[in-house]
Amino acid sequence: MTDGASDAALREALTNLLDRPATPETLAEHARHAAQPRQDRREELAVLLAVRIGSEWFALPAARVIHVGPAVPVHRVPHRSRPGFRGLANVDGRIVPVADLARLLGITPAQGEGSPTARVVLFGEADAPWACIVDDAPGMASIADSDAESPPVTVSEAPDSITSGLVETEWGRASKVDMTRLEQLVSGLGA
Amino acid sequence: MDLGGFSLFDLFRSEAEQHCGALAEGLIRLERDAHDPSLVEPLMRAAHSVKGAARIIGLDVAVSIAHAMEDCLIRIQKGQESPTAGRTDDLLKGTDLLLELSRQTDEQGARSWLDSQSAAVDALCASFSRPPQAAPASTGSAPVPAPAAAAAAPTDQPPSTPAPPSAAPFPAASASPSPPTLAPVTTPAPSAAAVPAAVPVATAGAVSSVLVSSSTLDALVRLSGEALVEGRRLERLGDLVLRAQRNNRKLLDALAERRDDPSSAPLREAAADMTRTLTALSDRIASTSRRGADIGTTLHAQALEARMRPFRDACTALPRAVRDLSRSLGKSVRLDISGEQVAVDRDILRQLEAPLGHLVRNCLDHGIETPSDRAASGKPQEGTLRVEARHHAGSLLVSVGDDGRGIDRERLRARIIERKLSPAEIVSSLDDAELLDFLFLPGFSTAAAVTDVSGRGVGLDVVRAMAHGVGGAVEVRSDPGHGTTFALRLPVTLSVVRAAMVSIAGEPYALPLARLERIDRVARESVETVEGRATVRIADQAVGLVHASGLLELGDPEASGESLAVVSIGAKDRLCGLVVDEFLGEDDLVIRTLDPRLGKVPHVSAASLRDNGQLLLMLDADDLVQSALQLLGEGRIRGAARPAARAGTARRRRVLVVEDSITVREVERQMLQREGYEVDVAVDGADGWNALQRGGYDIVLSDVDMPRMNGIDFIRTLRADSRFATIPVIIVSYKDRAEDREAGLAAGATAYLTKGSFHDRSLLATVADLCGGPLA
Repeated sequence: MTDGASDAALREALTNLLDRPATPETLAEHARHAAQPRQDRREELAVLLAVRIGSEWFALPAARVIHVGPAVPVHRVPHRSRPGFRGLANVDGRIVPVADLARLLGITPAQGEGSPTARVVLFGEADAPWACIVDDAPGMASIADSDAESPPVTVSEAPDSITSGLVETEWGRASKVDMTRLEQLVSGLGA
Repeated sequence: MDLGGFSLFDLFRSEAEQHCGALAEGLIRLERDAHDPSLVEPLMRAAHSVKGAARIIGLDVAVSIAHAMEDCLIRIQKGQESPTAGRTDDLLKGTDLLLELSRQTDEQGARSWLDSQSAAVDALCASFSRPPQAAPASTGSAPVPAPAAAAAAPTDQPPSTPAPPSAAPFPAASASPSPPTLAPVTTPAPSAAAVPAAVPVATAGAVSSVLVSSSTLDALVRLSGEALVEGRRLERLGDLVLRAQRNNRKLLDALAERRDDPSSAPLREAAADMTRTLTALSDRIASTSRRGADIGTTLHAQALEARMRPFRDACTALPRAVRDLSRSLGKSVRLDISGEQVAVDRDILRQLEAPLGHLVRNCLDHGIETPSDRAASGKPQEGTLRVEARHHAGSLLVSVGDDGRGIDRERLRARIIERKLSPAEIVSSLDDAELLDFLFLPGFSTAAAVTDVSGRGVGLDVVRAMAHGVGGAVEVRSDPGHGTTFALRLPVTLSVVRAAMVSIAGEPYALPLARLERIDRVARESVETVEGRATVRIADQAVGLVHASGLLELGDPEASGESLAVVSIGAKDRLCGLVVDEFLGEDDLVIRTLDPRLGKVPHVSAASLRDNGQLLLMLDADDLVQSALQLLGEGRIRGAARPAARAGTARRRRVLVVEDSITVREVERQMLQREGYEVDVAVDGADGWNALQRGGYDIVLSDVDMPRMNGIDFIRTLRADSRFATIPVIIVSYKDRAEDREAGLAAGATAYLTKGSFHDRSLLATVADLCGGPLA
């Protein structure tokens, strides 16, 4: 019955190990962990609006998005036909300039405002916003900053890149947009 | 009252402006009616309020001016001084300085403006400390106070206190230390901290009004317009219910045929129930949408009305102007203003001030005779100048008239012939209206002598330009020996314009009805070519045709349909026919200014929203006519070959580079030449302007900071000339602030690039975009 004796010894040793008083280091470690503010982890989450232009997905930080609504017709502006600028649109009684993001980013042209899922997105300064028409804007995603992957170097090194990282959303992999760069890209377009 | 959106300086401005208006008006009444003490009291209060407001934001010099004025008014109230013409001049000068100060755009500007005015301020403060000039006999019944008394009066100092007349007794106004004996005179009574409480904005109390920023007002107009659009959407919901009712009726009919089938009974029951529900729903929608539309319309009207100001606001400067001018001309004139309460659009009111001033000066100088002349022709010595505003038939009528000598037709004819404006035989056959029309020509004057007041031939043309600019008109009536009246007919508001809506290249546009002559539909086969130019006869006149889509650079029009929709614009005898796709009807449109980020868009003056929410652009008829005439002149209309095709070989496009830095100039020249452009250079705006006169440029590149004529002035000059109204101009500058960009675009630049754009292809891309590439 040596097995029985060694079992009892093991049990006692385990009990001793588990019942040993906590060292001050352990207590401090645990206290530090418990004292961590819960929001700490939430602050790293960015709320992003997922939009599709052509076949590409983009994630726009919602803080700089002013309005999303059903797509509206865009009126061209005489003598202002230039790549990247589509014209003016009435968005909820506001007359705003509309940028052609597909053209600016050199991606497959969007289907435009004719498609049933198309949306108009207003972004930038609240008193001087820009609009763009996207093919779809199905919803928001909360994604931790740390979960954003660095964009490939071919993108990050491009002078007119607006991508600050790549994120996984429920609609697929999307380019997280650096809104400051986007706003720089469209500023001066209408003039 | 929420004043959070206003800076302290904004508040000072609005307060100073209000009190200065009261001061100017009251001082003139006081001068006329010197011994009414009740007139002095409000003036003292006004000066005191301005002083307090200036002190809050620390404008010490303004405090000194207001303080000196207040002291002077106290002396007048105590009878120690009388409001002689000279003293009134001093007080008015002070008022002018404060008013001018309140017109500076910001606090920084106000301070530097005050610095620039220090000599005038010193002189004024010094003159307050001197005894007033001897009063003219008519007003000088009060004894002229002794110099010492006048200087010392503001405090209870004994009158023996010596006051050297040359010393400026105000600390902020005098750079040299004041003699200590003067200290009591200069010390403002309350401590600085106590004053703010004494200067509530509530001095405006009599009229219940609040300050609202114009952007809030614009937002209100915009949202109320949107409420109207939403109301219409509800109506369309009613249409859907009507359709459901029609379908339901069909269902009931079909079921009625199966009356014998017992199983159809519950279906008939259900359909009948549906009928009742739909009827109730349709009634409910109709009443709700009617109510919504009523409220929406009222709200919109009210919001628009908030943009209105009383006509009085345009007249504040008149009593003073009339007083000063009639004094300097040795005339005696009574100003009679009526319709001060008439509501006028803020924007029109602002533009009306200068024309009113011109008309008043004109009447004073040319119309009203000297007292002796008037007496000789049996009129009262005092002339009457009448300024009147009223609403009539949806227009604002403003008239300025005098009871003077009227316009001498023979002298006018002689002047027209002398100035070689028209040959004598034509002048003699002109009817009265045509004859008087010459008065509005730029540079035309019947005055024998050029005076300070008028006669230099500027003025009436400005009045007409303003009236035309807002879509109105001006006319003159004159009865020789009895007087002259100028009558302006203006729109009541600039916010709403009656416009014809047309479709151009598939998109809606609007043209103000006031600016177009006719709208016609002409058969395609009736279009003839005269010298290769498409022409059609409309109302017995050959009208040159221009395709709107081509003019607006929206692509070539599609030739379809049996007839053409033609909008005729321009002067009656040189009409241009603008060919559009379709007429869409007419409507009252609320004008929305174009986004400043677009800069000046040629041919487009504003935007607007239709009642269905559709965006449309308001076209600038005058601008269109200019360009159309140019196009017709060049024969570049559809039907005639385009220049490139006609020439056979491609022409190289010509670029003018205006830049003072030789390095930048050379970089731009070489870059563009390498691309295949023909490039000329100029070293500054003036040089560029001279180069432009040689003509033939397709695009202009200009720097902003240049000697002699800077880029902004250069572009303004160029845009003011109809020959260059549409030539693309790119600003290439080191400045990259938003305000620099906006200033450039506001001046008329087509695009604004920074010098960084050399490093990539954006400069070349923009040039190619705007002029179509190196080869034509």
